[in-house]
Amino acid sequence: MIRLLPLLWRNRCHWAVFLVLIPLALLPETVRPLPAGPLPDGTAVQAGPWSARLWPLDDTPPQTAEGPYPEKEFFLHWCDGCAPAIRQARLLVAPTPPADSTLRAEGAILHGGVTTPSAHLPFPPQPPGTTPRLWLWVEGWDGQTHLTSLPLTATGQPAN
Amino acid sequence: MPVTPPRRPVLPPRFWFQLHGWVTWPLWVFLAFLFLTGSLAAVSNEVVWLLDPAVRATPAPDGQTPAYGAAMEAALAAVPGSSPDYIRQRTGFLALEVVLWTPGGMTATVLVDPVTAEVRRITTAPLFQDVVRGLHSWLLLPWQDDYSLGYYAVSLTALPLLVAMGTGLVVYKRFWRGYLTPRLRVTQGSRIFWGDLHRLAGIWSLWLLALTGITALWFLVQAILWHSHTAYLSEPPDLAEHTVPAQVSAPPARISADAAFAAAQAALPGLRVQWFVWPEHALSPYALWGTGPNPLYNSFSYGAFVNPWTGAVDSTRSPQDHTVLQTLDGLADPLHYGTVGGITTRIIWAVFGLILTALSVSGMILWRRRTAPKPAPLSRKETRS
Repeated sequence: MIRLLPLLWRNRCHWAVFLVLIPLALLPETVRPLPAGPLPDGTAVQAGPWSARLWPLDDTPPQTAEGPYPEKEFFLHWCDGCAPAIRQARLLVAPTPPADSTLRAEGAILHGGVTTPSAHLPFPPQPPGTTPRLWLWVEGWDGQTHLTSLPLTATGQPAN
Repeated sequence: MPVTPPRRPVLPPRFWFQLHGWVTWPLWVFLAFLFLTGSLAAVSNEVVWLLDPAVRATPAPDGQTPAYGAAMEAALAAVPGSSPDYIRQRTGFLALEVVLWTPGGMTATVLVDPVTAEVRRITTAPLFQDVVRGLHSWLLLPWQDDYSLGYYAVSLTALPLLVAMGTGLVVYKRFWRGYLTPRLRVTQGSRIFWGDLHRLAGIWSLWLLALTGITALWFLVQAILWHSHTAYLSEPPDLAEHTVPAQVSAPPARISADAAFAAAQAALPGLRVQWFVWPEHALSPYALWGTGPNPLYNSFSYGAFVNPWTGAVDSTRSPQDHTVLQTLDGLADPLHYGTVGGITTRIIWAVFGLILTALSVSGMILWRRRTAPKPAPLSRKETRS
């Protein structure tokens, strides 16, 4: 190893070759098709007539984002055949049940895939002495709204 | 009459020469890699057209627009249970890329002919053009929390590149002679050949070096903006609640994609759609992004957002509405990759990118020769013999 050092130093103009080896090493993994694995089990929720499973993208705490509060991405999978009847669904972190108007204005709307949408959920600071809950608010095309919630851990994971 | 002595430069030419070498020779292989992959990125659509006949588009009759609605229907039928995300049209001579949400919460790309709506391929792997762009722009290093170390490493090379360009011009006396009387001596020894090649390649590709170096500086700023979560791009706003059907007995139907396209074209004449994004939720518009009358701007500089329930154009975007950061963002890609003038400029960028690759290699060879340890002087005994 010691003998290699002078050789490495003499050829220091080629050190950047390591920067080129990185993408070449990552290439096979990059071009591989994404495996279609089963969906995570998630946490079962029931909002009015609609059931769903909800899970966070990963187990990291909420991360700094473009908005004023840290955010964490959540996915939701609707029950079979349920999605077409739903006009919109939103997520919000709050200690107590939020009003419809608050949910419409501040709730993170679930978007993307019709059956498995997702949302970046802001985590605003909670009033002292309160336990944050994750609220799922669903509005059907018929105008009916439904609210359900589940407890969250300190790192923003569903607690059950 | 006193004679004024010639003004001596503040720093001797040797200093600029040393600086020219010091900033580039540790990076020569990396710069050569970036120039090579950048050249490939500039013509990646053409490479796909040449090598993969299955994804060539049927030539469209003059004035015929892609069958967006039929293409999406065909793709949805090919992936049961999926829902629309967007259609991307990189160029008219390749299949449309229809991206779908799968029931498993992932995305799949379906390549569909823009004229016949025939499905050509289904894949969940990234396309060749995106892999080349990833190789060139972020060394395929993963993105986390809105930054990639690779994106920083690549965009930071703007600094040594621009220093090398400036110092190269300082040490190359009367460099304009290389334009008037270009000279490449191939029979007078390798040192002269590599020197001539380096100087020729340098001055003839100077314009591309300046363009890519300056735009790479913007990419560095862009990386910092992303990393610091500074929002500077303008997303289409959600639709007003009262324009979205509510309290209806059955789920309502959106207008067709082709109707949305016609509305966008009428509102923003000259819009050449490259990204046709389907509504992401009930309060979201069809978003049609693309290039427009001014070819200096990228494919997110012109946009029209169509209310899928009423058919009205909710809002539009074009370069005159852009902030300074949005303008810089819009200008960078076309100048960096040569998309400003279609296939002609992309080929010119690629050819001169290859010349820049030769510039890196010839620079390394020259520097090695100048800095290589000199042979030990002959001893007196050897001199006599």
